[in-house]
Amino acid sequence: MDLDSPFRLHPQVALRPERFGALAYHYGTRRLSFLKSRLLLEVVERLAEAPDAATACRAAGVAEEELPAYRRALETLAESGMIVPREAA
Amino acid sequence: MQIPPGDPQEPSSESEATELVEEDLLVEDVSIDGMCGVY
Repeated sequence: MDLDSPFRLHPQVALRPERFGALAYHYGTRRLSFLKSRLLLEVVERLAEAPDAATACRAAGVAEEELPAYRRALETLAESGMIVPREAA
Repeated sequence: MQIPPGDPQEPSSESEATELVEEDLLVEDVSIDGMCGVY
């Protein structure tokens, strides 16, 4: 996944914060994803406003050594349609 | 929600274990399609 690209939450996805992180439900595909980290939830919430996914990760407080894990997490979310590429403003 | 316990078996290498842990650590997909009426 290209962390230098902008992303956003799919408009048909609802996020529900939980103590373990969050639930993400896609009303179109009926898919449910567990975000197992509150930090990942914050990254996803920052995607729409950040110029790219890497900036969203760093702004949320993701350490450099954690970026690969968060990249894979965002890849999973993109593959399931939970997040989609966003046109840069 | 109950989180399943980790595998008690020792991995063959530490890097492999780290990779395995990282692979499914942050996001888990669940399909609930077709579960209507299941209770």
